[in-house]
Amino acid sequence: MIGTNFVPDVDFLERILGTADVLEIPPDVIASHSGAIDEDAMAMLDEVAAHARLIVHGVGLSIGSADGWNDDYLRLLDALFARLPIAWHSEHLGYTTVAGESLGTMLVLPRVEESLDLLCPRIEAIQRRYGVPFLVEHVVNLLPEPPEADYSPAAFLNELVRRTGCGLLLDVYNLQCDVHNHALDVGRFLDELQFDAVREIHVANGVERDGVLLDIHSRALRDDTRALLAQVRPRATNAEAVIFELVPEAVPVLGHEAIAAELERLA
Amino acid sequence: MTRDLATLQREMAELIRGGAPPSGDAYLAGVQQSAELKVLRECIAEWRELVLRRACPLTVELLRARGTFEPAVRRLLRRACPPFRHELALAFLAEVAADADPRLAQVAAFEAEMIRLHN
Repeated sequence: MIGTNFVPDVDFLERILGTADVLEIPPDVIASHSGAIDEDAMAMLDEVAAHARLIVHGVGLSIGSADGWNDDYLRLLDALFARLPIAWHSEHLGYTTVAGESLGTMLVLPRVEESLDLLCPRIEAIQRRYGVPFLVEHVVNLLPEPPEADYSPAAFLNELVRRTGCGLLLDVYNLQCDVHNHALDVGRFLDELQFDAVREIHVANGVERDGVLLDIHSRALRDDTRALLAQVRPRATNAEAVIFELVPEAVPVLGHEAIAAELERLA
Repeated sequence: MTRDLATLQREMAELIRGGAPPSGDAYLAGVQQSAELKVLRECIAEWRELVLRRACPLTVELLRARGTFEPAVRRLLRRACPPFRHELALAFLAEVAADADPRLAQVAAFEAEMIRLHN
């Protein structure tokens, strides 16, 4: 299956449905200030559920916050799961809040035992709460690498899978960012990764600023992203969907036709 | 690890807001001096600017006309913010609604009320 993000824009949805088999709902983007899902967006989701498979991909759970995750985000998930047929959902392996306040970005967790001890019970609780597959996504590290690590990047993900039975969301562009910013050995990462846990793949593009490659999700795909995807796809035999990630702000900039063309190339 | 996760996260949050690392901590001192942190702060500020332009365009235009929008966003970066977009806009508007300029304060209060009504 091929898909992209759900954006509450009727013209956009009419253009891509048919090419997109699956739409990924970003709960944070369609939340109202009252902590509920925006009703207009929910009505659109009710409509598109008949035409595309729906999955959820969050930013705001902050599953890695040591002082507790974001309960408001869970209420958004509760509302979506109560009303829509969500096939599976996913979240980033990072933290966006500290003491309940937003960082304005997402930071990675160090790949150490303490992080696993924090994450595993939370992943298991999420799996029990919603009863559909839950995938975790490795996050682009935008700051210098912490000096201590008990695990390699792939081994850390494998260990989460081993301890919890969760799935993995492999973001090809995130790997490219880590290669660019931190000289990640992507060949070693892919050789080491437990690919049978990969249920979903993301592709995207961003911008480079002062030598730092950022995962802004704002542009058409680069050729080298497509090339890396071509390497990954045959190994991810359990992956059910490839998602072209876009922030809503990028949709009018890129244009509906260009996005549809990108989805057709991925199919 | 030399510090627990909760401590590390509090220290990273403080660095992002422009605070200083604990003395003698080589890793956090390196983060503070890094090009990556500078880029990250710029991105956070730009993202918040974008969110505010979309959520409360009238207040933003008034602030821009006075040349005080970017400094206001930088101030926002230095303090803790709520996680959701509309909450961010409401927190920002609450601050501007207390401005000494009555026209600016009234516009900010109006836009805050519109956001509450719409949501």
